[in-house]
Amino acid sequence: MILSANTCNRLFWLGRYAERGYLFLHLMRKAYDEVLDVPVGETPVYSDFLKKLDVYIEGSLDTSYQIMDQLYNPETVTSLRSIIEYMMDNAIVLRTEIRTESFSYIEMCRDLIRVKSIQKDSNITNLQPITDALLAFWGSIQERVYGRARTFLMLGKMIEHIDMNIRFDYKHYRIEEAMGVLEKFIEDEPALVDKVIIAKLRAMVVDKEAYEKYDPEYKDKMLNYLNCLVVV
Amino acid sequence: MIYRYSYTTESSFSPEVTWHFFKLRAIPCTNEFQKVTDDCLEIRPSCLVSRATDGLGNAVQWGTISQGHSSFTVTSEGTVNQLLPYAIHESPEPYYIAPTRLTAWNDEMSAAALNKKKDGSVFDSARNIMRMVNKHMTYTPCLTTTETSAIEVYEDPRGVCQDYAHLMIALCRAAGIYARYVNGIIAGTGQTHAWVEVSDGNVWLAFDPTHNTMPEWGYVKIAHGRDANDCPTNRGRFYSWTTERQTVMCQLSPNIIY
Amino acid sequence: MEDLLKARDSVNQWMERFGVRFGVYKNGVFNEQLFPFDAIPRQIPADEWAMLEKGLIQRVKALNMFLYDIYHDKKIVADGVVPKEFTYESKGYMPECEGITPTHNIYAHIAGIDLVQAKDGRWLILEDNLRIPSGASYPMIARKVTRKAAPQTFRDNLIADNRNYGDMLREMMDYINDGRGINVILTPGRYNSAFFEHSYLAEQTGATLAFPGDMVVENGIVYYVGLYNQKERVGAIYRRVSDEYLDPLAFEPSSLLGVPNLMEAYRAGNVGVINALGNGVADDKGIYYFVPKMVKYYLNEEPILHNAPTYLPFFKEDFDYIINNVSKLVIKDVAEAGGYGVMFGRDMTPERLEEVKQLIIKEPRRWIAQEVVDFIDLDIIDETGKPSPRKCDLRAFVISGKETKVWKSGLTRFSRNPNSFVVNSSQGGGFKDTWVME
Repeated sequence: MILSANTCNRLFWLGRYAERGYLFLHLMRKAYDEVLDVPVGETPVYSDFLKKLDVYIEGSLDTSYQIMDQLYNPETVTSLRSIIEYMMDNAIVLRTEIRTESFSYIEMCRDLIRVKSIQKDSNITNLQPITDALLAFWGSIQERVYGRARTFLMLGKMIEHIDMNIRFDYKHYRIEEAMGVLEKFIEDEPALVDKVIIAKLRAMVVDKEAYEKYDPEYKDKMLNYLNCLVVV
Repeated sequence: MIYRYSYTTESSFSPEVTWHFFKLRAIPCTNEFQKVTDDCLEIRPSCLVSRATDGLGNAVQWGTISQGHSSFTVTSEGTVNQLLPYAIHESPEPYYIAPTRLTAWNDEMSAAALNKKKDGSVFDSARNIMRMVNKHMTYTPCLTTTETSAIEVYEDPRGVCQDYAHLMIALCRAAGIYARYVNGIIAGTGQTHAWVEVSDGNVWLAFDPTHNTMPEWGYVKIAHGRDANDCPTNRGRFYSWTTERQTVMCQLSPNIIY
Repeated sequence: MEDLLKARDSVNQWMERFGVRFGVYKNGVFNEQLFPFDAIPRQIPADEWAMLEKGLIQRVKALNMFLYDIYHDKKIVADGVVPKEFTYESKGYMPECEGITPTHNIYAHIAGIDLVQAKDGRWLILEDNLRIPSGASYPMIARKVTRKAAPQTFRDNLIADNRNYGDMLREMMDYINDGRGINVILTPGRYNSAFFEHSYLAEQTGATLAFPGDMVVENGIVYYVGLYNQKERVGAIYRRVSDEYLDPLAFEPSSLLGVPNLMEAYRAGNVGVINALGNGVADDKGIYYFVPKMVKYYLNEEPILHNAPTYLPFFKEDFDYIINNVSKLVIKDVAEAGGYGVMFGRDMTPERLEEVKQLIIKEPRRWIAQEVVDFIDLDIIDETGKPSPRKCDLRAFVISGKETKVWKSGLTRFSRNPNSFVVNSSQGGGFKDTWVME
């Protein structure tokens, strides 16, 4: 089936947002857990979490407000609500490529996040169905989407995965592993990525010592390369 | 009478455009009073130009330029032989009596038109209407647009040949007379010109409300329609954002070589 | 049918999950709404359906012949059966289509014929929709869901399967395509009210869903432009963009929804367009009056299905009748659609009645008048969970490809309020599944 450039672009971004939504919840849960071991009143865990998502708070941090904002505020671009709305914006025009079945999991995520936004539910475990639906979405993609459509979805997923791993200072071997999977994946269609950029990115990933300094500038440079990798 | 015609339009784009689609009516038509004896159509950048006849019977030339370009030029030149005075013996299609968006009329216009209608020949009535339009209007360039309707022109009687023609068509149709819009080339204006054809059921004759005359010679017809929207000489479309500047140049001269 | 009625909440949830929505603009803001589904189906017995099927095929055949005639030989006008005021002077007539012969001479590939059933059991035609009739996707997906949610109901009742609509469309599209290229469904975009249907039908037919700007015409051939400018020839376009926006070089120049020079590719016979352009001349409220005459004229048959009793002020006799009886008639504006421009005489004040009379006197061609048909109410389950009667119509879908076939189902729409006669989805209300019994 022939796909327009626009469609490929949307598939790519659907893949990215679906992965971002999944990892966002995963990392948020981790932050929730870490908070338990920090004395009340000191909450570096959240400000660190937000910083990694490029959210900088001026002045003192109102933790409970920030959590609600990052979960449900549709005006906050980094919020889970926004991620899911963007995911839907892409999915809605891709019904023929991903099929109604896969589409329905995205729809479920959106319905749930809208309901939870209205309820202002601060119990993050109640968002587990979103995680479930996102995993089911990827399962459904594996089950029924082939060819280029799948390629672009997976490409988006992999790039977002590396992106988030870098942001959240995952261990070096995790980045290297993820990068290896991506490179293996594009072997069949090398034209989809910029050759020069992937070489530069690879060089940065390989340099374990440099990466493990977790230097913000080094990370930003890697993220920049990563974000201009795919040629659509 | 033999005439040499030339029609040139030049467009420039900034930034350049890709996927440029165009449709032209840039070659005079051949009918019982005029015959195109020699035509040459050149398009830059060069591309394949297809020719067809549209649903109203006009010759159209159309094509696509897919590569990027910052200018687009159409040059249409040739000779036309006008064998007889301006008249087309054809029965009019029924749609030339119905209003369109640009040729709709209001009650006041309808009353004015019926007032000018004569008992005698349809052409006498049309001549009265033409005279009225010519008197009513003041020729004013750069005020109206291609979207200005006859009703607007009637209320603010300033405009160019297209507006004169639309107003006359609206008034004729309001009076129950078949009328259609014509564009073409006349000597000395440098632009394409618009006039009106009126039918009594048997023959179309030309009326030029801008100059208040019923021309017989020297009006080289390109195309006709219910209104100007049916028969633009040049319409284009691109799949990109750009600014377009366009100029049109026309010439008509009696051919002295022959 | 008990399990079906019990399952109605779960059915609506499933439909939400599948994104079964339609868009509405309210005060300039786009919103997506669910199209409320009522679980009580409309049931049509087999013998009644057989009659409807025959009548619908007959009607659509005549309409297709009429459209061909209008743009070619013009015999029906020359023979005085339909006046030129209702054809060549009609807004729906497009001179640009003169002389064009669509692939296999078919114009109304997908016809949506709206019917109502009168209290005496007769089915009456309300309206023909020959341009881009919508709504088939709703009962199609509703059936998919209800079969899952209430299996016992479908075991107990012998109901014709309606999930084949996608196959019927595809078969017709392939026939029109004639092997020239891929099938495409052209949508105006995701903010169109029927976008769900466009995307769902593309999925169900295997056609490519094309957005404005996805197709180009080059050397008279229509192409879908893929990644890296790779091009694939298009053989048939099921377009959900209306005529006037379909080609900015032939019609509305400001349109951003069309394919430039599509008209030339179509005229040259290089692409099939579903439905054909220019069909508006055969489906406005004025020409409706003449459809039974077309059946006699072209097929030399008596019409099986009848119109609701209709009067045209254009004719002197009808005019006098209308002026004397406005208070008991429905007056409709020929140019309007979607439930707009409909006026019930019985709801009007004496002053308003006088105004309407003046409107008719001034522009007799613009109006039609109909007797108010007392049609059958169907029950729905209302917000309180109790059965409540509603006005309902039925849109039957007739597909004309190699053969003309009626889809064994249809869209049954009901009015939002118990007293309302308007069942159009753009005016609120919901839908039911339509069961054709076997």
